[in-house]
Amino acid sequence: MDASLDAAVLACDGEAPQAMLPEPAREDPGTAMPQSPEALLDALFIEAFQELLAEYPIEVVPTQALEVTTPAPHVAMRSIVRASGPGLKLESVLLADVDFLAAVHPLSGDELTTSNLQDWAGELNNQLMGRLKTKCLMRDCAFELTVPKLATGSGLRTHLSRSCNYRHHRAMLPEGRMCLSLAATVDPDFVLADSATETAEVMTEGSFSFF
Amino acid sequence: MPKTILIVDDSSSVRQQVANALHAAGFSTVEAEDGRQGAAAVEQNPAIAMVVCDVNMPHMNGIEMVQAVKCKPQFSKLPILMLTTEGQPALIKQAKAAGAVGWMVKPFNAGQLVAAAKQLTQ
Repeated sequence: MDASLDAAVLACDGEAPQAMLPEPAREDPGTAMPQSPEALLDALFIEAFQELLAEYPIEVVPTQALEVTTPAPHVAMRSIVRASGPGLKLESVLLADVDFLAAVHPLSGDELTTSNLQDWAGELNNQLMGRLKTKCLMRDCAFELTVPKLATGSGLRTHLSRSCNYRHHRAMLPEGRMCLSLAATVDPDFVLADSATETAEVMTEGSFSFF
Repeated sequence: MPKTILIVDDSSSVRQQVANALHAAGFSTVEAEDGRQGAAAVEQNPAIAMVVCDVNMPHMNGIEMVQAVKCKPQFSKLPILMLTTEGQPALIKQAKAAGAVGWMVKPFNAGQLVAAAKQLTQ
């Protein structure tokens, strides 16, 4: 495992021109939730990520970068999970250095291999998108998830689909860094309710039921 | 003689987490990376007393695996517990109709999983 990554990992390629940036979140004075579906999806995405790694002191901050690239020769890992449903396409890209992944892996350091870490990059993204799906189901929005696509190397990029606008966020731990990006493409008539409806039918994370 | 549990998940990290929990409780485990491998493992290993199965996997998903296994009379009583990130009611109904015995949403509670395994392999 490459443990020599430093703060240069996951450096920005540069700031995006304003026209290329995703639409900024608009706050409704009466609620804390943004109004556009893309902004709401992004807010739920970050909420899901923070819940998923709630036991770690992770700081998540948005970045205005057009894309994030891992500089050579540092090795990083990337996973991509896509989702599609009526009027909606999502692409979640998780790009992390190995030290971040090792810090949040459920197995202890002695047991970890490069293969474990790459797998965990995929599983984290899978669990993240699973949580986002649960949140969307509670807002009457369903979609299907793909299995994670994985890559390991240097010079990995987050911004893959030219037609997509990504919202990037940096997640930092003392041990390492990660970039978390969501691209959302929604039809003009796509609607996502501002607030969740509690429904007994949707099973949430950690729940268990015998049939 | 420890009871054998088949763990079917495309994530090696999850398989290892589940195996660690089950080993600590005295079970032995075998593993498969997708539904196709899982269905083959059930056919080939008569010692398997229970299956813990993910849903979203390549080649054959978990619900298709339950259907493939449960359509054979010799496996009609083999308990299959779904362990997945999914909580969608439509998928849960499909798994139940296919013959799964329960549904657990990741991240899992090791104590809950072991208690379920003990109950289902009695």
